[in-house]
Amino acid sequence: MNLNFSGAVLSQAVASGIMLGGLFALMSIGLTLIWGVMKIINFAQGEFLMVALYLAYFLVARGHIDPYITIIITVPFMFFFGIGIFRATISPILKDPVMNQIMLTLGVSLILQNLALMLFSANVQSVNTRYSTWNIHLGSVVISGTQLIALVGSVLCTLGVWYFLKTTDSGRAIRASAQNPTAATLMGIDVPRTYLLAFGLGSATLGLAGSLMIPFYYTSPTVGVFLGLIMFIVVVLGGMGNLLGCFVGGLVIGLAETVGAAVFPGSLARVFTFSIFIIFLLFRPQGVLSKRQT
Amino acid sequence: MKHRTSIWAVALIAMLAMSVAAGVAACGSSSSSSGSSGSSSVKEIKIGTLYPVSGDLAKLGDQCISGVKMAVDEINAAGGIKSMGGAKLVLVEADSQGKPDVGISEITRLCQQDNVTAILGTYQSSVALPATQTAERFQTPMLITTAVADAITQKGYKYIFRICDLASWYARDQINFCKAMESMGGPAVKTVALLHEDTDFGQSTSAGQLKYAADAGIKVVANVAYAASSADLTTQVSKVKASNPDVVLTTTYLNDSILIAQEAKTLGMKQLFFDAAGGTVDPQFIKTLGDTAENWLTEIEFSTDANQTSIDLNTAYKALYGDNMTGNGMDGYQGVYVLAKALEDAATTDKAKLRDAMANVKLVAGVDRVVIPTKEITFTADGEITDAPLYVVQIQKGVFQTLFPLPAPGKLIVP
Repeated sequence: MNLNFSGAVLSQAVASGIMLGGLFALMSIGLTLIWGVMKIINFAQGEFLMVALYLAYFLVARGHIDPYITIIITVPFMFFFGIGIFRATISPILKDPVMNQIMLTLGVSLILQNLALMLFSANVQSVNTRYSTWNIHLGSVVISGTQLIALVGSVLCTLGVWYFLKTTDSGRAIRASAQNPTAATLMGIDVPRTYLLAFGLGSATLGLAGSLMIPFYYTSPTVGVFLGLIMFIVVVLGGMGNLLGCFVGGLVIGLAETVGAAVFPGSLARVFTFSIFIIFLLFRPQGVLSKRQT
Repeated sequence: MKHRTSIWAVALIAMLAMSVAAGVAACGSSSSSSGSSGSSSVKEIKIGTLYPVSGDLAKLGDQCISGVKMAVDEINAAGGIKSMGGAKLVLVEADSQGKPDVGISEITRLCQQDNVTAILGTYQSSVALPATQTAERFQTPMLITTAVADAITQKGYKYIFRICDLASWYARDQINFCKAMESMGGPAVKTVALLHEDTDFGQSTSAGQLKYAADAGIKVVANVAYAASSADLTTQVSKVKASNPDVVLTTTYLNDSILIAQEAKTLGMKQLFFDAAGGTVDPQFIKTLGDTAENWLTEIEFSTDANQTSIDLNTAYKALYGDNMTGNGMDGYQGVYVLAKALEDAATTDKAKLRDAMANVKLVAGVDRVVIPTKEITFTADGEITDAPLYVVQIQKGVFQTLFPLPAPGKLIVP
């Protein structure tokens, strides 16, 4: 074990952890939203992010579009992509047992992964943008500008989705459908349409994540496997379906990853992350922010 | 009860299906070489090859076999094995599919059905380990052209030889280069930091780096391991930065090498980074990073421009196959020449005598065909090549410049 770390390393780890946490939160909003509204665990969410990353990659690398301008393409694309997947696969089995839905989304994830493997090969792809050298120095701590933008994007996205659900008619319809689909139907809400909207929204947030991540991250057909796992931990940690909890969960896992890496060598850092997860499951299974449901 | 019975039935059917599939695969591969058995007089010498020419690793197996074929054609065109009346080399190709079990059955087939005199292989260490065991059992000389696990030649086998580099030599040559760096206009390397991914590849390489650095009197000021799938390596890179080494030695896969290069730049590190032929040798490394990849050092088994021999060899290879030669192709090519020299010395296809000739074979650069950057090729008592230095290259203006072993065409750039 190599435990020599200094204050500088630790403060860098904390700064990186907050950045990473923001990113994790951004990735996970869609998953928590989809679960919160229709109680479907979308195992293909990691692969949706992979699709968004590939789209952003091709727009930047081949289309020579500024990564932050690709948002106006990736977000609507992922919205309709999500709607398409929902219409074709999930909507027919909405009333089926949970196990069937899990199998189905798992199947979708495998199809997307292998489709990407066939179309784009197993090669890792990433882009080099003019933002990649943009850094902010705070004493000995260096913050990557692109990661800071992702953090800001994450905060705005969380607030935006929250505001949308709180104040707009469509948002209220989504919340009503989530609380009690039958009552919502009786009140004249088109529940299937609302589900469609929520699923599309959950997918669209990944479009934003893809565009904000591509300047400093990579894409490959299996990138969604690891990121998907992180999403699940973040969502469970934050309380499934809880938007603000999702943000806190992201920060906790981000910090656990980087501070863990500062203290423990190699893959042992992961043990730290997952230990925190297990501790939360044991003592606060309802998540960091949620109240215990009875 | 009924439930349990049906599960067993399904399991049984699945097992049957798998065994049928395996049988079909075995038939398919054995039919590919029919027709090459023939006369017992020494008009032709059958050489078996075992490389993964289908499956995930097909591209890499192809590189190996391309080098082998090129050398076989050259030798046959030049009059074959002269001590045996100009006997021609004939290849009997087998496909390991990248699977150890297939490797074993294919070696068995090559030895029993095709009666090959010797075998070349295998690309993967995981196939080489059981394959060499099988070849030893059939007392058939087997020359490993590519497969780096140290253990392959450390089992006391008599019939197994290897001409490629050992895994630990990547670390050895990194340290050798660090020692020579001052004479090349670089820093006097007194301290190094190790940054490596923590699977077998990174662990064994870093163990080698620790050992060779200690032997060379170079102090290791940090030894940082990480999981290659990490989404962020800033913390690990900042640990390395805090130790303030003269050079950073890395052992990487692709994603992590890209992250390290980006984060080292973000953190403003000025040190040279020297990778042990990991992610940095993938063309994607330079393509993705652009300027950020500049000045990174790495190791390669074959340099296309190190000297006139390499340039000529690569030109001939490219004319045949359209691609640049790789280390895999070069080792396959060199392997055939080593085997041909041993056959020439043995003057017989008797496998025991060929084995003795292999053990005592000696190819001298300038006299025999030697394309590895070494003066002569001989084997140790273990069957390992005595010395096969790696090339050290630096990324300069987006291409590899060969710096080492000296003399080399490139000049070290220190940022």
